[in-house]
Amino acid sequence: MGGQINNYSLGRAGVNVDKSAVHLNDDELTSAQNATRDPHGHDGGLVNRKGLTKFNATGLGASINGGTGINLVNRNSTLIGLAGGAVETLLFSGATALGNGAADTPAWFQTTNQGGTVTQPATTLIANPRGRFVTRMGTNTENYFAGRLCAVWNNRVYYVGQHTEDSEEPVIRVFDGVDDYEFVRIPYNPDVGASTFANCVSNVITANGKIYFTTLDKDDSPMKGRVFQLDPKTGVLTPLGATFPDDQLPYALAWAYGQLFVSTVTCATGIHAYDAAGRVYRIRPGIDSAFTLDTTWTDETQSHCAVDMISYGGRLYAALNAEASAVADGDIYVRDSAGAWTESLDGSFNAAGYAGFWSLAIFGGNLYASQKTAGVSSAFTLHKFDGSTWSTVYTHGSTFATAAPYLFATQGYIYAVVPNIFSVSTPVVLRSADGTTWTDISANFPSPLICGGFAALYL
Amino acid sequence: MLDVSGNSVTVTMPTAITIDGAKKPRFAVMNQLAIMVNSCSRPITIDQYGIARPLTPRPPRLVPSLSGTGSGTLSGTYLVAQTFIIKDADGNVIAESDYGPTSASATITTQQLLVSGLDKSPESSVTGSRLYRTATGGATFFLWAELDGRTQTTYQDDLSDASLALTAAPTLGSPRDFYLIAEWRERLWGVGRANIDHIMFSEPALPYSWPSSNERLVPRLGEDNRGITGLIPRKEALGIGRQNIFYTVTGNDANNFRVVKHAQALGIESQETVQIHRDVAYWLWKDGIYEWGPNGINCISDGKVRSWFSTDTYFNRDVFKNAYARIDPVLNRYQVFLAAAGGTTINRWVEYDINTGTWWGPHKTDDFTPTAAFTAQDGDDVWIPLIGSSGGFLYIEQDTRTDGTSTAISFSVATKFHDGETPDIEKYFGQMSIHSKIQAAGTLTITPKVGGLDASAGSAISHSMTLGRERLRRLGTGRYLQLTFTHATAGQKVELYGYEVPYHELGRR
Repeated sequence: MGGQINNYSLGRAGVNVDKSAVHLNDDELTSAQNATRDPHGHDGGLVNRKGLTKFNATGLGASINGGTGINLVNRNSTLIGLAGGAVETLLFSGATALGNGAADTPAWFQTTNQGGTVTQPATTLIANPRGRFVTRMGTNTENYFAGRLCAVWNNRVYYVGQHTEDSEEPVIRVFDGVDDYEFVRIPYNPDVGASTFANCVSNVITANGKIYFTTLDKDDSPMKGRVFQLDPKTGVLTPLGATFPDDQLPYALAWAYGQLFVSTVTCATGIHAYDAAGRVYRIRPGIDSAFTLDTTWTDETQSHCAVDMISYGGRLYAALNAEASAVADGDIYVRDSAGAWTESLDGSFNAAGYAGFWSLAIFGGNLYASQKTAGVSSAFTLHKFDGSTWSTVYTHGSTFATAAPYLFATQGYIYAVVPNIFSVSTPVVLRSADGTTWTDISANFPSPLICGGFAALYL
Repeated sequence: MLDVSGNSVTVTMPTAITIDGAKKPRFAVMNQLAIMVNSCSRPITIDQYGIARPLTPRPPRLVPSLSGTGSGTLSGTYLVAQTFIIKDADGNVIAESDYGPTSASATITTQQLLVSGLDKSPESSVTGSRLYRTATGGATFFLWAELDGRTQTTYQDDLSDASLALTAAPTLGSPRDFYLIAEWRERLWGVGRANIDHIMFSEPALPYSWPSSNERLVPRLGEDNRGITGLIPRKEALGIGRQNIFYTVTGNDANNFRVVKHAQALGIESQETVQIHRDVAYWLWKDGIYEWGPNGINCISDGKVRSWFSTDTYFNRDVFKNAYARIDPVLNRYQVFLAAAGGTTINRWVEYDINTGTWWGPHKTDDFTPTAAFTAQDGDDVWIPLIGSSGGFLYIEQDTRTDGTSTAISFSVATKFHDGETPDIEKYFGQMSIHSKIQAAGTLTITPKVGGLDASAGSAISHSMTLGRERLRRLGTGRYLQLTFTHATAGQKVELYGYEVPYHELGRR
């Protein structure tokens, strides 16, 4: 007798080593080294397995003993900013009507990897008008600076968007590097009247897992302002405490000692008046229903206001500037846990004009402060504090500045930025990797540049 | 750490936490944090920015001093305790230590309450402290103040009792030095090196909070020196394995979590072999691969490849505790890595096709020594199974049939001993025909064994894979015919459809 072995089900049943040689079926194998059935679900043949290739080009220098995969943000953070506009946008313009920035056409721009060179113009991410980033304190036209008008939360920028003054509510927008959209509107102040729109947002910070910002609600005497908490997860807007006392405009914000600290600017006779000493208030959001007055700047600091505050080394620091006066000058003050404010750095008195400190930032474990020398067109100075000693790290002597330098620190650099303001036709952008050596990288940035609109996102 | 493009990114360890390269890292994921244990000297978290921090800071070590100072509005008798906190860049508290020692009580009258002698954390990851205070005469603590940084040693104010935080201080605690970790029911579950017979669990959604009361014994205490050997977090139950007994945790919260015996003479031999796919768990025990799903626990290697795991012929069973596995979620395969018989290096793997219930292997590679296997997602959220190597490289699959840049894949398939259902009759096996997929190039080698079950290998036969069908030589005389197909040329695909061999029976001898 004869027969035929026809085996076209070869391997269909895989390997079986639990049967004796005479009991295996045709479709069973005794071994299948580097073999498998067609893995794509076809009833195909027996194939050799796919190859294995290196995932990382450079070895890690040691045996890999285990791992897991988690979604990581690109660690190369990218600096983004807002630039553009032929006419600077003002929040305050003294006796004139507030500008609405309609002529501005700002757009987000993006730089290369934080660790690499800033290139210009980089990618324009959004072309539509968005930002309003410049403010002014005082009557002198040289006294322009920008508040912190954007804050980063969960790799998104929450920033003050453009709105038409007196016609619509101010707006907070959000930008994640791809999408830019309206997030929340600021309601009118009932203490002002339902028919009056709030004017603008002055400062924005991220703290305590939330966004906090100050508002100007009424720009003529008696002036009024508020502080809000914004939950970036839900968009819920919560006013903190009541409207601030008349003519005490809440301005700078900082989180310290588990509380939100707010500085105010006194503007009894005009929005830019500075005609009395400013104050500092504090509140515990979610616990306190009202602000507590923490301090009123007095004596030497008359007509001072804190235009920036920051927590450093467990203590709260305030950057004060002053209206020109025979007795006033701007200083850096520090508050201890007992609530006592003392002078940390004495600003140089200069009767010729405004003087004071404008911006604070922490970088490399040190605190940095920018100081604008008095005078219409004059220099600015950068100071560094290592926790015990202040030192001057940079003086920009060019004749140019009518605006104060804004400090901004990222993963690898600290920046000092002077935007386009009036006679300043070209922005000044300085960068340092160590806080000591500063490089002018102005040419890399688009012009005009709007200060206060910088953020570092991981894109 | 590697990003999705394979570029290495250095993760800086937190202060005083070191890595032991000889131990396998074990991970759980919660709140967008990867929690790593076993290979680090303390549990750590790694966030989405690649920043590593201790899972829980060490608590304060000093007893704060409490007294009244100056004038104020506070009167009463108070206690204070301190914790250390870690905040992320958005100001969220992502870790809080256990409470430090409670101060002695202090009685003040219309003063400010001053706390001094606060501890300063030596850990650079710590971003601040919290102070908790009782109401006058009370025993319940409430949040009183928060201090930034690691330099402040005093604090004072006269905050009234009514102005303290509305809710009582949270329940906190320190984790053990875990060697096992899993996430289940919104909590982390861990087993500590110094407490191998107990399992701890964190507070819900608080991976840093490990109250000492959140602990259960997994019997029997002191039974062996390995203790709990594996954790299996399925949807409705947490499996806990010892060497020879299997438990599950039932319940929903700390009040009713119970450890219940599930099976005897069954356990988990290696945590690294535990893989869960579509709520079905697979793992290695001493005698095979087990599956735990809606239909209970079954040994899926029994009846097919039990001999792989129950004899010393194929794999070194002494090294089972070092085995590891991964799931290929796209092809639905469970792959477990083992040491070949007689060796101690994990250099073989077998795979179980979940769809068809078939086993394949043992596989090997001549390009590198595998040391780990896991699955991650690339930048496009596509699952990529990865194999780690002793050379510090991760390997992914490629369609090209080459390992590395030029190493051939050694393909070898052995058929049954064909007997025409007459194993006692001598047969003449004629010309064999091979049918395969037409390839661009390559030769498949066929080695026949013709004779008894102990027949020697005959002369090799070559089949050109450029032909879809080829008739080859006569195979010879014997009672059985067995074929082995081999191929080992880099870059060449093999796809074998089948074969035909005519035979004539010659009679009995």
